[in-house]
Amino acid sequence: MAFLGSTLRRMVTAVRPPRSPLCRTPARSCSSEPTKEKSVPYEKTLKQNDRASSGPTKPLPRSADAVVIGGGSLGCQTIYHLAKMGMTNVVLLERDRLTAGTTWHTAGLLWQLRPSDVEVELLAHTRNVISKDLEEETGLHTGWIQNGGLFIASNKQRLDEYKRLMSLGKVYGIESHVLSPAETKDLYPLMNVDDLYGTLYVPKDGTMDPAGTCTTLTRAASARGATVIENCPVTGIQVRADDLGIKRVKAVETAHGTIETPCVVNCAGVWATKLGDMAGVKVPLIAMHHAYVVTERIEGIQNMPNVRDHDASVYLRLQGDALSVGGYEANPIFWDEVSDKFAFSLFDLDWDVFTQHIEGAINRVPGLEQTGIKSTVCGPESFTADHKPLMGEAPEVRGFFLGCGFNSAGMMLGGGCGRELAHWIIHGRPEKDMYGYDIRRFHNSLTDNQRWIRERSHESYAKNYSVVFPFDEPLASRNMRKDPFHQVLTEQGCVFQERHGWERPGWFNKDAPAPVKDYDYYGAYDNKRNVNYKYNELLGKEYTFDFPPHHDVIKSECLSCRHGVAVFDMSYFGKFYLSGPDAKKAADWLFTADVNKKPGSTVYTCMLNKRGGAEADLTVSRLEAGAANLPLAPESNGDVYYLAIGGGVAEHNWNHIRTVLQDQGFHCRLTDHSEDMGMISIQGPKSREVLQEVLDTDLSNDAFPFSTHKVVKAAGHWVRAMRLSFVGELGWELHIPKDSCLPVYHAVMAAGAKHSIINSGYRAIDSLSIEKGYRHWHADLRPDDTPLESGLAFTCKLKSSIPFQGRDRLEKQKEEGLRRRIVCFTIDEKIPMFGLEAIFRNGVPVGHLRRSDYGFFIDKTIGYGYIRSPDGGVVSADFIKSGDFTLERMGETYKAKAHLRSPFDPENKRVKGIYA
Amino acid sequence: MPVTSQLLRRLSCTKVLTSSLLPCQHHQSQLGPITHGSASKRPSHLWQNHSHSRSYQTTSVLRSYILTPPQVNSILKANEYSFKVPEFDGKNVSSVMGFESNQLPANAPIEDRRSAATCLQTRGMLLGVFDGHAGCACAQALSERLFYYIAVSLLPHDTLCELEAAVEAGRALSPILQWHKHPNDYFSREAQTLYFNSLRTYWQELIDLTSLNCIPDTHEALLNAFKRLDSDISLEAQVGDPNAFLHYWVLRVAFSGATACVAHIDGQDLYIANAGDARAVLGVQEEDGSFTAHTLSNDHSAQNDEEMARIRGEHPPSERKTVIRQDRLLGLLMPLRAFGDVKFKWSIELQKRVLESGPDQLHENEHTKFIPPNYHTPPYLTAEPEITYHKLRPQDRFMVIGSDGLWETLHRQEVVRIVGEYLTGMHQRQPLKVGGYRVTLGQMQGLLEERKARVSSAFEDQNSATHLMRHAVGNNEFGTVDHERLSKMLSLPEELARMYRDDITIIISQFNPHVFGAQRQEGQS
Repeated sequence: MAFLGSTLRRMVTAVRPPRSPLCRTPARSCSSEPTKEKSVPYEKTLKQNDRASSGPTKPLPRSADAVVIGGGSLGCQTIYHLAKMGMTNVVLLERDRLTAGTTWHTAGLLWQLRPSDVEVELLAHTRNVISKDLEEETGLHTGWIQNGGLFIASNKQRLDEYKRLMSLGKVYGIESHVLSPAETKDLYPLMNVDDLYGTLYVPKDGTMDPAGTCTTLTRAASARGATVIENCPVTGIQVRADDLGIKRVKAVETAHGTIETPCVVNCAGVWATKLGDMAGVKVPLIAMHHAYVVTERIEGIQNMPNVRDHDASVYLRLQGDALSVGGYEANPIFWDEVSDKFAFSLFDLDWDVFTQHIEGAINRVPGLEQTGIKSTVCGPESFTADHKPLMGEAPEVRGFFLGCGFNSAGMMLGGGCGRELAHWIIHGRPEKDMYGYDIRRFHNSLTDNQRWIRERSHESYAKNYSVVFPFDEPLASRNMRKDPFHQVLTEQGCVFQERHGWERPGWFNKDAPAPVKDYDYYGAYDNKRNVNYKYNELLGKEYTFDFPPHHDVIKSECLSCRHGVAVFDMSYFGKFYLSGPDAKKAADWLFTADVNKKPGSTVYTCMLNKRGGAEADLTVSRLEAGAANLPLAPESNGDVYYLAIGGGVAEHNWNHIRTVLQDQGFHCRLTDHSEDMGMISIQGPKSREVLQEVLDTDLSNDAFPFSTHKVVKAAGHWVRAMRLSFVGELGWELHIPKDSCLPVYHAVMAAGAKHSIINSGYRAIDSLSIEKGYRHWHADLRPDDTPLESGLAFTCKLKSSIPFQGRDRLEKQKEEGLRRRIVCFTIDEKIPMFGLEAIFRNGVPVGHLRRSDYGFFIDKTIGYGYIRSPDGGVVSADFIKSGDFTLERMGETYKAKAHLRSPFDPENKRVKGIYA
Repeated sequence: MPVTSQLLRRLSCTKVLTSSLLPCQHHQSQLGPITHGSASKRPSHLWQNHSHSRSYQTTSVLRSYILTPPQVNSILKANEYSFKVPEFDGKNVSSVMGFESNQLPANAPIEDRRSAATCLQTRGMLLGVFDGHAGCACAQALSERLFYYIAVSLLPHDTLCELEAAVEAGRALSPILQWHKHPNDYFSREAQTLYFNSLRTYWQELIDLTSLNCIPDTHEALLNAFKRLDSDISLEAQVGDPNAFLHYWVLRVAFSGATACVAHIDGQDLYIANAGDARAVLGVQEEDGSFTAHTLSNDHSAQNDEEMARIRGEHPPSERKTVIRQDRLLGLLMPLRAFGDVKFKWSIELQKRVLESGPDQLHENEHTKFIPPNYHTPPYLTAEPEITYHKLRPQDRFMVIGSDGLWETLHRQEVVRIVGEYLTGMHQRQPLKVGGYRVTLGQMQGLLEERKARVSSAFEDQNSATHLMRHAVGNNEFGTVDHERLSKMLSLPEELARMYRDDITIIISQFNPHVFGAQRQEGQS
């Protein structure tokens, strides 16, 4: 140990105050000159030697159609794609040199398979750009190396996840192989395979070069007319309010001049929050230290694939004849004092934090133990609450776009996201379903909540390599938004799900309450771990790709609703009023369905983007004009509509409506009363008997038909009752002013007691609604699906002459025939599916499931997916009827029955109260 | 002066070079001359004994005393105490959230004392550290009495009258102080009546001196309390007591000495009254999260030029060279202000008279007859405190009061850093650097594991004072706790401990920055 002792002594040379991730401390290691032990493994970086002397590399134009700020992966990809799509009067401003900040030190790994169809498509595009397109356009090699990728599984769950990826890959033509330990050893002789369960080998994965990629991108963009200016820090963003009082981007200010522009793209990485501040835009990301270590030469490592050992949270990147070792630790160091001067600097690596990765790496490649450390790379990266990027137009300022918060995947996702962002800027919306990356996926009350940003970002960082299970929930920063029933339901064992900050009921645990506790950082930073944490325990049981132990509980919640009566707390719904002089015009334009039936009607409708894609589905109730009776009705002397929208997407809906109103110049009032009212839905054959005792109105089919609403008294309290169903049963929703919620709920439960009424949650709704064939937006209905493709043609007023947004595209599509459409599948085997399973028709992949669940009434697994014809032609009913369909789940094939109509209550009798 | 120099060498570490009135006090070390550590880098103003601190490694005897981490912990935690100010429903929240304290003896028995109490009749909290010398009697008396003198000095006239009326009528008194005491912080039962009578005399005089609507000034109150108690100690010794034990006791108190550093905190107002070389330091959190030390009191020692000037100015020029010699008062006493120590305050005649009339035990001790050299114009010593005021700000996070045993081992900046990082939960370890050395991943892993195992015990402390003490005793040259060193320091036999370290007493009070923020807002509106 003599050697170790003396080494330690020598290594602990600089006695400096320690830094903590929980306290604000300045970065102490902004050494401008990378030392030998602290440097990236790239031959070429774009760091300049005499930064002080140089001004902007080009003169600034007076004006531009768009200004991209930040010359990292995202900024370069965005300007490249903008130029390529024809917007060439565009400028990229970089404060230092291209790649400064984060991109220059990134590990540059590219994996093609992720548990999301959209991400697979985005990654495929990045790979195309850097391996093919750029070289064709510029004749330059970006530095792309196709050395393959290898995912390590040390347990069954993990290999199941890989098999899911493999099945999805087949739909997209991505070659992948599940290998046994012995096969893995043949492929990678230096690897320890003793503790392996199996691996997933993707031969066409590879490694990108940050400097090479960014210079090639900007060269290609410049060739098309874009202007790339380095050494030009932005000092301000001018925002003006237009005639309608809408805030819009006006100009970008720098020390060397001002550029007038209607559009700014914030690709400023860890500085994106500061840039957002300049325009009053909230950018919820947080900077952390993210590190890897570069080894000395390893004999026999050449040409080996990159390795991602998820269970050890470690990756091994091929670096010529050496490896870079990095990972995601449980106690990352936050960088709170983001310095403006940090362009090409690195932090000192905190070995005590990094130590957890060494063990994993040595275990996987034992030769590493004897391998020397060449250098360490610890740089700033930006992380977000759900480990997904922040993209799209900011809700606060029109024309201010985000392209930041890439969670160390900015190189890998850059191509796909750069293209989507360019499309977003030019056409108002992206081409793909980018809701998972859209800033509007977060409620506006959260995006400046520092605790939420920090806690959530920590959890998603630490869990980045965890298996992605379909029903997982975060433990960080819960209970941000609680509805009036929260306490009562908690006491009854409610296991909550988090959506949009809200706690909504998932299912009801019969043994004991399972409240969500304050976040314990999983014990990191010396936080005391939560003990006897029932909720966490129950969540652990979801970590399976089989049916969870509470499958039967969900079953009983579903069947109670089908056979008796169940009450669902749906208070998290977005509840908006649309009124004002142009309200009718706006409603006609916004909604696909004709919502201008007589007051008292409620209509299920979609809202479309310009390309006919479904931006939302919601119910719209036309109200009587009259005096205000808030929150149940706003004051109106004209047309007024009540909009009820799934609570998880309320922010997106709000912004969609507002944007359309602004773009069309409609004079309307849109008000949000989501938090002023609770909402319970009472559903099932017995719901009428139960509610007849509570409501002071006749609930017969004649007096209160389906798809109508009334303001009535419930147990002495005014509520808005709506005869509607999200589960395909007879039932009513009660929209209740906050203070009346509990009395009404108790009255309903008392009246329902003799019918054995039960509480039920969203796990049951998921199952009941898929059984009935109702859509879930962002699952089997997305902005890249038209209502015609998704079987929602009945919501479109195509027979009327009323124009609405997207109508032209639907008419065109109707004329040309559908080239993709949704199909319902059932399988006979009693196994769960979750979506992403591949769909084969006559042995040929034609699509994948978007959404799947178990239908307890029909007692089958049901899945919905969009299918295409392999020849690209029209997908007719006959194409579906004539095919033999199979579904592939984790590499296993299951025979599937395709349904053109819902297998449950296809005549739609139950919602009308007809129970034969 | 061969005798004196030999005495100096052997007892260089004690605070008073000459006398101990009582037989139990000092072990005359039988060790031979101690070799000085070759590379003592400590600043010269620190205490002499620390030049010895590296020498223990050479004596093989001590090696057998290595303690296990649990044993170390039980020693370090034996005297730890913590008090949290109870929270109210957001109302009237105290500016002091609570305090934590601890003591580590080097003398046997320990000569340091500590006190903490909340004033019940007025507002505010009192925290004090008393560092005794020539025995623990004087420090003990201060720990029991001084806060009563301060509390009484702070009482308004009518409360004093009520107090007197209650005593007069034999009614129960409403308590003046709520004490926060560790079980080892004892009060002597025998002297309570004597102490009470002196205190009552004091408040009776205060009633006569103050007027009806006069609210006492904290500065004045602290000053008067210090001076009055020292004068009572002196008087009680002169008067004696019919009870032989008590008579002996009051003499022990008066002939021993103690420094005092007392804080009075009420809302944003922080007063420090200090007499001697204990010290109060404020931990200020800077905007970048780091901590800076802000010293609240001045040491009354030979390193303090103003203090030197004061003493020289109080005596004729002929004594200029003798009044402070070898950085000590009359070549004997380290602190330049102290309670008790009547040998430095009374005339020679008075000393002789009191000793002659005293109990027989006194005569058994040779040192009692010892009169300081060059003793011409007493008094040479005062207990008058230097008073500092500080208005607390949101960035003032905590205050450390420590006896000189703490400050001579750790620089105040280091003290504040250790405590600040402990309280904010940022006790992370120093980062390692590869700094150009060829290390394999395997070696690095071994290194990190070894270090982790070694350091983990250092973070078992639930008490910030204990944590600081662990650093004070166990810090190595890298500023981190070295268990081996800690273990050796704590396993020193009683007769040697004092050679290497002094008694250490620490009180750390944490402030509530929200209170200051709120008060500031109120003030603005």
